[in-house]
Amino acid sequence: MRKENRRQTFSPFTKSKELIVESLKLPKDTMLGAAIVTITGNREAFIENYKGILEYTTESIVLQGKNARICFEGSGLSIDYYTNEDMKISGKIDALRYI
Amino acid sequence: MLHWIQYIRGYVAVKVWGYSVERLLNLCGNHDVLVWDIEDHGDYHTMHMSIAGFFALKPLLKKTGTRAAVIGKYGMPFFVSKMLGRKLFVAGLAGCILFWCLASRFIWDIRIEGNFALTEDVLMDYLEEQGIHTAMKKSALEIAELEQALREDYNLITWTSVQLRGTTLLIHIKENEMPVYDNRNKADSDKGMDLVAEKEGVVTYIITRSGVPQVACGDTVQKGDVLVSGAVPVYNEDTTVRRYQYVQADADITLSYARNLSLEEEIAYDEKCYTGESIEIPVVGTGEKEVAFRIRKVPYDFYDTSEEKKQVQLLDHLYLPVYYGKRTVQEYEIVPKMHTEEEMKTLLQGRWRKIIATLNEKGVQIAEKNVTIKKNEKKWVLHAHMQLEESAVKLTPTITPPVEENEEENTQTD
Repeated sequence: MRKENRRQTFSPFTKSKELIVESLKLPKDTMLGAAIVTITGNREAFIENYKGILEYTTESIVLQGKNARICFEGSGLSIDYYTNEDMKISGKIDALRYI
Repeated sequence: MLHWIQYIRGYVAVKVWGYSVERLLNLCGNHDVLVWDIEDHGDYHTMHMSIAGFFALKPLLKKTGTRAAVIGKYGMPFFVSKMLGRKLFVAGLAGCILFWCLASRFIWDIRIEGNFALTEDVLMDYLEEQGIHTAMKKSALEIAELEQALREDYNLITWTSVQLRGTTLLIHIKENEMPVYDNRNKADSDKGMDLVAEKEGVVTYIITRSGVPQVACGDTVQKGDVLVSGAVPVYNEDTTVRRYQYVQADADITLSYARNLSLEEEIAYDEKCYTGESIEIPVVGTGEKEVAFRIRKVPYDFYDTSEEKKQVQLLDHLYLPVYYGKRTVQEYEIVPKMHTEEEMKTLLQGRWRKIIATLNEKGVQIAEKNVTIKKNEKKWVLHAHMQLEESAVKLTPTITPPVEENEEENTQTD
């Protein structure tokens, strides 16, 4: 299951950039800086292309993407590993919200 | 795989607390410090990171106003440094490995399988002679040569297989189930073999298959007399001997001879009566020396000593030259007693039967026997006069051909 985060309001510049990326079939995550979130069931989430962590508790983990914040809510959440490129969250995930 | 790399490179468990742990995590990401297993415990967070990562953490802690403490050290570098602290343990471990490496270069156990007629002791002695024993170097063992030597030195062995399995030398042999003939006589057959009497006696039966009989039925022979000669004469026309053809003499011959025998049995005898008193002494020994754990002397006048010993055993067949056991000393009294007539009869008859059985085993037939028992106040004596029949002959090389024959030939040629 793969969800792509896009900005809700587009400026003319980003719109044309997106158009170019789409027509040239370039990878959107690198070109647009979109985060890739892969969720397996409700126990594991794998996030690439994010900027940093804003909040980390067992109930919620908030990450900063380039265009939006990604908020995982649940219980017993923990970060299995964390590098500059990607991270893995495990625990019971109840909701994923873009703020 | 990843776990192994982490283990080999070593990692630490760190407890982090303070103002902004999230910011510290971000900075870790930016500074390429790999962190994993991050857990939130409310007041503090715990995480795992590499050793290098932990040292890179210090400026970041200062920057974010958090504090960190190591709560666990895992992996090879820590294990090694811990072990280096325990020098004796490491030395022991290294010594142990060294010991096993060295010990595995020797043979520690010899097993022989498939032997029925040849006992294990005989074969073990033979191996010892060949320089093969426990605690010998594996490299000194020539398997092919040993197999060949076993086959050559024992006619009975028809097939051998020697294997080295770990530190065990496995010798598998197959014995010949067919009867083995003595080849030594055959080797000399072109020289001729005589049949010679082994005992003094009268020839009662003779049938010659090959060779020239030198005696007839009813002849009295001495020990060493030639009964059947292996030199068969070839005659000239004038009935003089031209030359001799040599054969292996073969004949069925029975020699009859007399044998006297007397068995004595005394009526009075001493019987050992055990009093039931006994002492057990622990014994420990090595080789010829033995130590008994008893200081005082044995307080009995007459006693029997029996020992039960066990050798210290490492493997199935590897015994150390150290044994232990107990020595039992049993007291007895000597009681003079008299045999009853019945007892005397059974005693003498038992001995007599044993003698007959051994004669039968040897293939000796009893043609006649005359047994008398003389009773006396002190003892009984059994006299036996026997006429025995036995094929008491043996093969010996034919004596050098008669001289006259050569002389005759010489004169002829002259």
